[in-house]
Amino acid sequence: MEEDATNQTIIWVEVNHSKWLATLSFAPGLSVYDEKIVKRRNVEFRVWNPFRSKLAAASLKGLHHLPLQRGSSVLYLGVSTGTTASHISDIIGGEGVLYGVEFAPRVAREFVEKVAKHRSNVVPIVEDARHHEKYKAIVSNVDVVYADIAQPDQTEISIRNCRSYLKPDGDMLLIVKTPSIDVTRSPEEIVQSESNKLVANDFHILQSINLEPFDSAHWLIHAKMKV
Amino acid sequence: MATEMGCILLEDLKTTILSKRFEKPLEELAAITKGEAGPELVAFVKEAVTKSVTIISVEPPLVSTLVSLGLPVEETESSVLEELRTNKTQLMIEAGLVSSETEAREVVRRFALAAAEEKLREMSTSLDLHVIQSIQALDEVDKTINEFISRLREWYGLHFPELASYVSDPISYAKMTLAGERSRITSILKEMHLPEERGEKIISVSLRSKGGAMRPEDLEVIKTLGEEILRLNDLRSKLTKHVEDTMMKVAPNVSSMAGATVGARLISKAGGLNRLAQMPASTIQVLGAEKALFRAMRTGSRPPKHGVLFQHSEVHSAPKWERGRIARLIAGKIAIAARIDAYRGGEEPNLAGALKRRLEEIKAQPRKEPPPRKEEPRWPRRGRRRH
Repeated sequence: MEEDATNQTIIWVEVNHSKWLATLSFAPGLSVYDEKIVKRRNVEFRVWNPFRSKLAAASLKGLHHLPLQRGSSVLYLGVSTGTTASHISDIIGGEGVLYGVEFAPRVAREFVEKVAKHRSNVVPIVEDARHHEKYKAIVSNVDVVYADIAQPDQTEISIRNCRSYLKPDGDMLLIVKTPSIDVTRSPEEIVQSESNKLVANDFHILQSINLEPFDSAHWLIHAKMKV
Repeated sequence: MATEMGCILLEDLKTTILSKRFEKPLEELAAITKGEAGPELVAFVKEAVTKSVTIISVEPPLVSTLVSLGLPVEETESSVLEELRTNKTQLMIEAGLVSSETEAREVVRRFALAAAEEKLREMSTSLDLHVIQSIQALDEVDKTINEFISRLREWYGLHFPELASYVSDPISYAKMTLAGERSRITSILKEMHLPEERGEKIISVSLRSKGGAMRPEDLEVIKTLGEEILRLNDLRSKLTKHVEDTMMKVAPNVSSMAGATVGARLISKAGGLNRLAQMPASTIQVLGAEKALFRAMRTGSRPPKHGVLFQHSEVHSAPKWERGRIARLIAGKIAIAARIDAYRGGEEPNLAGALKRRLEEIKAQPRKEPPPRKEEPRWPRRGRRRH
C-alpha cells in the first residue's frame, strides 16, 4: 500500500503529520462519520480511523490477509451505524455487494440514511441475526461473513449464518467482545474457547488479533470454513 | 416461486411456464413473510392451475393459506428451495422478470431498502419509546432543578444565609427568593399561606440576618433564576403526569406493580416493553445496578439486592435486611405483568391482590436484624479479575 497509488482501493495517506489508512470513496463528496476526505490525483479517499473501525484496527495490528477486494460479496452482522460497512463498501466497489444486518432501530436508521441510501452496493436488512432464515429472500451466498455482534452467543449466531450464506472456502471475520460473553473469565481464555467452537464446527483459524490499544478487550478472529 | 419482482411457475425446476410481475411487491412479500398470500399471488396461483398442471409446490409458509382456498398445492422440499434460492437471479432473468444480473441486484436492493425503511417507521411508532423519552426527560429535569436549587441557596445565601435552614422544601425556597430584598419577604410569605408561626419566625430572623447587602441588579438575576426553577417544576409535574398517562396505556400491569415512574424506568433500562417482557425476574430485580452486579460476578463479592427497584416504596421503606426478599418478590410480579402487557394487554385484576397478599405475609413474619456482617466475602471469588 503506497501513497499516490490510484489503482489501489486502500492507501496510506499523511494527515496532520501522521500516517493513516484511507479507502477509495465509493460515494464521493459524502463523509459518513465526520472522517476526513483527502484527494489524491483527483480521486477521493476517506481516512479509515482504527479507533472507530475494528477492521482498520485489525489491519494495523497485523492482519496477514484482508479477505476483501473489488467485487467481494459480504454479509455483515451487526452493522450498527455503518462506519466499518462504509469502508468495506469502498473496498468492494460497484461489482461487490454488502448485506448489512442490524436490528436496533436507532442505529439501523442511521445506517440506512447515511450509508445504504447513498451506496448502490449496500443492502440494508433490519432483522435479528439470530433468525437468519428471515433474510433468506434477500441475501445470496457471500465470500465473507463479518460479524460484530456483542452477544453472549455471538459465535453460535455467526456460525449459523456462515452455514446458510457463506460460500465454501469463504472467510469469516469475527469480532469477539470478551466482556459480552463472560465477565468472569480472562479475554485470552474466552478467545480460546470461542476459537475452539469454530474449530469444532469445521472452521480453521488463520489468525486471532488483539485490538489493543484501539479497542480494549476486543479481538478479531479470522477463520475459513472448510470445504 | 415468489421473488421480489413477481412469481414464477417452473416445470421440473427449470423451464418457466408462467411468470408475472407484482404490481405491489412490498405488500405481497410482507404478506408472504407473515404466512399469508396477497391478492396478486392468489391470482397467479389460480392462473397457474389453468395451465394443466396437476400440483403446484410452493414455499412452506404459503401452503396452509392456499390449501384453504381450495388450490392444489404442496410444500416444496427444503433442498429444492435451497437450489431455487441459489439460482434465483438466473431464474428471474429467464422468466423475464428482470433483464440482467445488474438489474436483478438493483431490484433486490431497492426492495430491501424500502422494506427496511418501512420496518423502521413501524418500530418508531411504538408508544413505549415515548415512555423511555419522557422518563429520561423527567430525570434530567429533576437533576437540573437540584443543581439550580443548590446554586440559588448559595447565591441568595449571601444576602439571607439563615433562610436555608428554615425552609427545607426547595420549591418554597425558590418562591421566597422572588421577594428580592429580604425586608420584603413578608408579602411573599402571606401569599404562600405559611402557618403564621413559621412566617413570623422567618421574618424575625430576617431582621437579624447576618447577610450582606445586595445590589438590585444581583437580586434581579437571582429572582429570574428562582422563576426559572418554578417553571421547571411545572414542567416536572407535566412530565410526571405524561409518564403516568402513557404508562397506563402501554403497561397498565407494570404500572400497578411498580408504580408508573419506577415501571417507566425499568422499561427504559430494558430498552422497551418487549425486552422487559423477555427478561427473567432476577434480571429485572437488579436492572439499574449493572455496575454492582458485574463487580460481584468478577470478584465474588455480594451481588446487589435491587437496582431501580430500590425506588419502589415497598422496597426502600422496608428494613435493610428485608429489602432483598421484597425486591425479589416485586421483580417476579413485574416480570409476569410485563409479559401480560407486552403480549396480551388489558388489566389483570388478580396480580395486584397477589402482590399485596405476599407483602402482608412477609410483614406478618418479620425477621430479626441479622448480626453485623464479617468483612470477609462469604463466597470464594469466582473467576479471575480482568486486567
